[in-house]
Amino acid sequence: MNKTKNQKAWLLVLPVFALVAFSAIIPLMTVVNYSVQDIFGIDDRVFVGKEWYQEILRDEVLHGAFKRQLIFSALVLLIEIPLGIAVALSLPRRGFGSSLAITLVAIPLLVPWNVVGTVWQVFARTDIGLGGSLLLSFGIDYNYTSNPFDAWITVLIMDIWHWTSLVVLLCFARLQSIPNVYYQAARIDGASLWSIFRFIQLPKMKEVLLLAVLLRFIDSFLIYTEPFVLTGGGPGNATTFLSQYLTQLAVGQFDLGPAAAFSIIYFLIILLFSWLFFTALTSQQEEKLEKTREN
Amino acid sequence: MKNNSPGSPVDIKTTKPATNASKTDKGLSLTEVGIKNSAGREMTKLSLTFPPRSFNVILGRSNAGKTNLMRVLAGLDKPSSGRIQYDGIDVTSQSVRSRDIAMVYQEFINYPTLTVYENIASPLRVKKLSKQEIKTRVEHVANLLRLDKFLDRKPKELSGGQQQRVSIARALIKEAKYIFLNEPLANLDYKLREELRIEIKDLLRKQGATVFYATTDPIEPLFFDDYILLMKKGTILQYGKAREIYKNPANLDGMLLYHDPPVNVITATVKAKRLSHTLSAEKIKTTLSDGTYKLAIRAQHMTVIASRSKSIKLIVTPSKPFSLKVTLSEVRGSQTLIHLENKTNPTVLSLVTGVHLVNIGATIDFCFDWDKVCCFDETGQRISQFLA
Repeated sequence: MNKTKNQKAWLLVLPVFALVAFSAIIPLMTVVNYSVQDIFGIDDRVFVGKEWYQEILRDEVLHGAFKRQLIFSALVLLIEIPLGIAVALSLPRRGFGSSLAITLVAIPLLVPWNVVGTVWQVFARTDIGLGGSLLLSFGIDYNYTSNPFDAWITVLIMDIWHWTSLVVLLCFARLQSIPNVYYQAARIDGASLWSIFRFIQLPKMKEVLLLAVLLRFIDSFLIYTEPFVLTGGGPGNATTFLSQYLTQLAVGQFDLGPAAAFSIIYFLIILLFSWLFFTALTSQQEEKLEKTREN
Repeated sequence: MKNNSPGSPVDIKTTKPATNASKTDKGLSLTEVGIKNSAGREMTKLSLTFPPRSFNVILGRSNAGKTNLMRVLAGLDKPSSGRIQYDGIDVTSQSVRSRDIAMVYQEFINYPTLTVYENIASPLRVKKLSKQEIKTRVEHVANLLRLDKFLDRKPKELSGGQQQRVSIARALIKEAKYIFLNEPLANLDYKLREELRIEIKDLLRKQGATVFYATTDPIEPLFFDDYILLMKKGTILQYGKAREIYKNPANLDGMLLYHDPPVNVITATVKAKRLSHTLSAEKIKTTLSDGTYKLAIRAQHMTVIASRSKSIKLIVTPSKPFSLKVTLSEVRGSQTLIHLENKTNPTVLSLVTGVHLVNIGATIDFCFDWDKVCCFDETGQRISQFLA
């Protein structure tokens, strides 16, 4: 086979490259630039090397936020993925009911983040909020502004309300693509509902579930707006997650150096986890390809 | 087509199926069964009995209602009215899980994440048989279907024919009394279809089950050579032995459906006990009353007159010879199908043994055997005796 050297390809890639450079690479490099210098004014900067990184890694508040963030993302995944599958399985598959259900389920996804925060902030209030006052009337001592546990629960339920629909939609689309004959064959075999789920539905949803895990992980790890509106990170630091602490550093205290170092580390963590999920996803497909090639 | 399954076809005929044979066998019977098609329209009510251990080929075009009928017979759908009995026992309201059935589909339906072994074993695992017994039976069936080398593979790693073999193995291993096959060969290429057809015939006969086999292919009823059910647009045209119906179709629709090689339909008119048709100026004595009729002549009965005396000698009741003009000729395997026309007949087909080069535009002389002609009245019902 002849490999033709065609330099035209570079020319065709150039516009995209320029776009990515402006939107991603240049801003990122600015942050890298900030993270290794101490900046006092426009022409007044000192190179400090890894100092900001060392400082930020020793930061106790950051440790707390990081721990909180990990627990939050883990809980989000542990609840939203199974719940999303369960809801997708129980939705009607055909007819008007199906369209109606899917529309209703999709509505939370259409609500802007800050609106979600505001809605829940009002909803969970004990004086005027429906949810909060209802809990009080049941005799449950609930107050998300003073009790860290209540605040956590509220933020978590808000995220579940907002994002489980995404998992539902992804799973539902896959379930719809399973031909009816599979279910018939399983019925004739006398397979139980669990076996049908385990051997027909779950394998079909596997790829889309990895995608859902990836999306939900990244998004929950970056969560900012909703808790900011709902609790403002409080009570104390109870619901201060990474991005909110970062904002405090950068905008609140104007510690641009440490904030930039923090941003880089934050970025690398997300990149690492995404890479882990992505390789898990693609290695399986590659295995499949190799096996089919062997035949 | 030699496979490693024991026994020659001769053995199969003489040895009676060992399993399921008992005097209480009454087959599968339908009483006034109403079936709804996929559009929700009611098909005509059916009352029929399928004999025990019969191989029933259900022949019909797509949308004839074959699948709907099979689904109701199997118990996947409930009939809208009437009763269904398996061996005299009413199963109308019994769920499909508790019935003794197996089904094979046009699509190759297997569990994607399970290996071939696990797939074949799945019906037995549901029945909670011992591991050792499952192993013996899986290996036996895998051997019959030549899947023994692929037991560790996943279905997706097999060819289409092998995937369909796995689903047939899953149906066989259950040793169900009723096996339903819904166009099992439709998604396979020609060669695999031929191979698997022979295997299905061989294996299912040994199984001793009552088989229902839906197909659109008119060659299959005679191939399996047992019973045929002809269906058109949700109605049953005829049910009976495949050979019998091939020779004596009850109606024109059935004959056209069960048509390989193709059937020519010629218009005939009767006036004063004389029947004339559009192929020639012939007038033949008839018992029919005045009116219009349809004559159906299979393409292989349109005989080319090579040398007049020789061809006509073979025919019992020869028709008057007539000439037709060639418009097209197609070679099918080792046969040649000649498309012909004359002024009154747009297309007449003649099937001739051997590969022939036929010039388009040439005229050829033909005759047919009146004994092989089927006569139908205007509504398409067969008139068995029409020659005086």
